[in-house]
Amino acid sequence: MNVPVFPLQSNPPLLQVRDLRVRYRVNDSKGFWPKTRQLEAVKGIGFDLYAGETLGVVGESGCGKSSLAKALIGLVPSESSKLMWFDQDFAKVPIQRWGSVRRDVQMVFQDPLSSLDPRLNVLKIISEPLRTHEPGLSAEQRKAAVIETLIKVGLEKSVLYRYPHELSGGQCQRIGIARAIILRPKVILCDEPVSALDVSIQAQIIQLLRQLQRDMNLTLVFISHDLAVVKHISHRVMVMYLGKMMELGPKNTLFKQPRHPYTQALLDAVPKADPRSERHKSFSLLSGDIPSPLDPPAGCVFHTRCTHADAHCSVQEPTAQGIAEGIVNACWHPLVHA
Amino acid sequence: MVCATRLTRKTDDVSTEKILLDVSHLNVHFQTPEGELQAVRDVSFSLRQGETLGVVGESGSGKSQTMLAMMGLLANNARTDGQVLFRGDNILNVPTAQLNRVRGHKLAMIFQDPMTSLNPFLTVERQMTEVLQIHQNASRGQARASVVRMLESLRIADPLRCLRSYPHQFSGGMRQRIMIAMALLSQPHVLIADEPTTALDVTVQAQIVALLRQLQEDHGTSIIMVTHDLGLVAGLSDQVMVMYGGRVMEHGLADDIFYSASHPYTSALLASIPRLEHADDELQAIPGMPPSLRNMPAGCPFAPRCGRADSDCQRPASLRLVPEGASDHQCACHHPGAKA
Repeated sequence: MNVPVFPLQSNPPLLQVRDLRVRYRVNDSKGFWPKTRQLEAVKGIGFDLYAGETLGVVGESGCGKSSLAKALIGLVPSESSKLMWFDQDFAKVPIQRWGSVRRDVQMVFQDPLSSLDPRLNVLKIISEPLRTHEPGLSAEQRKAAVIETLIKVGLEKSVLYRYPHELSGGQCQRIGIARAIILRPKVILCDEPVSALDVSIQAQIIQLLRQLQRDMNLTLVFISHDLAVVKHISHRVMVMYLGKMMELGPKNTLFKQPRHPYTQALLDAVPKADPRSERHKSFSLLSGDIPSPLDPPAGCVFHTRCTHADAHCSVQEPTAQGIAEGIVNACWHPLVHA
Repeated sequence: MVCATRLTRKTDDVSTEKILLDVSHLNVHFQTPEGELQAVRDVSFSLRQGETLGVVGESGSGKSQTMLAMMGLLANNARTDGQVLFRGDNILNVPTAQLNRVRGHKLAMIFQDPMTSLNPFLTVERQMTEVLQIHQNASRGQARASVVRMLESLRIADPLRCLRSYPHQFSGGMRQRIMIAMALLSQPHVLIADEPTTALDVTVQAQIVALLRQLQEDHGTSIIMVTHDLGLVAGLSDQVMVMYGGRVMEHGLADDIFYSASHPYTSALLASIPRLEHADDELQAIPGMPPSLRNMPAGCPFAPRCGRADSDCQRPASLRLVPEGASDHQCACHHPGAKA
């Protein structure tokens, strides 16, 4: 089973996003009088999503990757100059009228247990999207559709009347996936779908998602902090830091020849299950923590931790630009590979 | 018993050192309304000075309960038996007052979640100096001075401001560094790190790992690293113990475990992790799911998910030396051997 070689970019994109911004108002805890401040979690992200591909999104916690996914499906308010799903621009459409997108774009959440209603049984959980989007179906038709979907995600009919607390984490995540695919969507946004699972179960879920992608011709946006997981499932990968896109490119180019110092630093930080090379590893550690998104650095957001930064980086913000075929990079000093 | 063979590190400088911690036949039972459940079965290992033991397992494998048992921190319904010798003295099932002479002092632990293991009501100074005031009868001034030195050595910027702050004012990485600093204050001989980086980002994880390595070089601390992440133990550990269903499945030097795994569970675990360094090969998922304590198979706990299982596997396999393996490579399997 090989991942088909991308790009299939002759097709028009399913999703076009330009200059997407997500802002939250947060309470400022400093000082006696309560004040609110603005936190910009996603700062002007733009990309295209093509049919049949998996776009991986990686970054450290607080980089805005979950906000990005929620904004794409209208779960949080956002601003953008263009947010074109299929052939309709939702940039100026109020969130209440996003219903038609949500039918074709579904989401799988991180914590499998807390994203399922504890008071509903599996049948009710999985059939809920049907009740919303296809109210004409009879109870029998719904049940039949649920059973068919359960089999697709590798569960047995016997779980139909169970409640989430009776199931394991891996089973709950399969239920979450079943709920997402029952309407035969075109796109699934997966927000850290495997990070709460045990290693052996994680591999099962990754395989299931790849299987479903092939069988149902799904397009996936796969968000994770785990670069190895993203590498396994994605065709293209976007690296985010403090709400900005640092680098976007085909998986193999990005992982073999990262152009952005942050991508390189992320790759260096991943421990490998190979004692011989790991013992003698010498890498340049990123120093410090990710800066507070309330108070982001001026210029390039990464310059405070970057080993390649110079005076220019702290003043002028690099814009994301295409530097080679399919590769977008936002850095004044992109790494050069021999 | 067969497990009498002890693991030796290949570099000679430590192999002659004395054994600091010696755990033998440790069992942990829990008294529950559904009857008695056994979370840890017959776990034995030993740790020399300056050595690192990696304990790998999925949730429910008993890895954390083993550590908590050694620290005397198990829940009230737990019953333990076996022996835990710390520098020659048994510390299992001894009165709390006696245990407290070593616990948190010469035998320290870092917990998984730094937010819930720090007290949110107390400043960092109060929490950190307490260790020294209790174990070394230090005055507040002395304790404070040592704490500042420790924070400086961990390269924490502005230690004085850090001392005045409360845990919620720090990021996850900083909190974990404070936990580590606190555990190291009394210069422990053995540091138990229970999933110390699970809640952290990769870049912060790399910083914490580098920190632990540095400490080991500087002070010769022995470390027990408990984790589900095989990548994390690869670079850090001298010996690795793989646990499943409360039992030790395989135990050996890191190289033996990673390059010539003998137990089918270890091989399956290694094949199921996505790796950066590998090309696009398919992940080999392990079918099924880990057994629950309520419903543990009578024989080998891995048998229901194992490709090699046959009727022999209906009875438990004891930990034995791997045939034709390294002299200290042990495996609990009826059908050991390299991947079939």
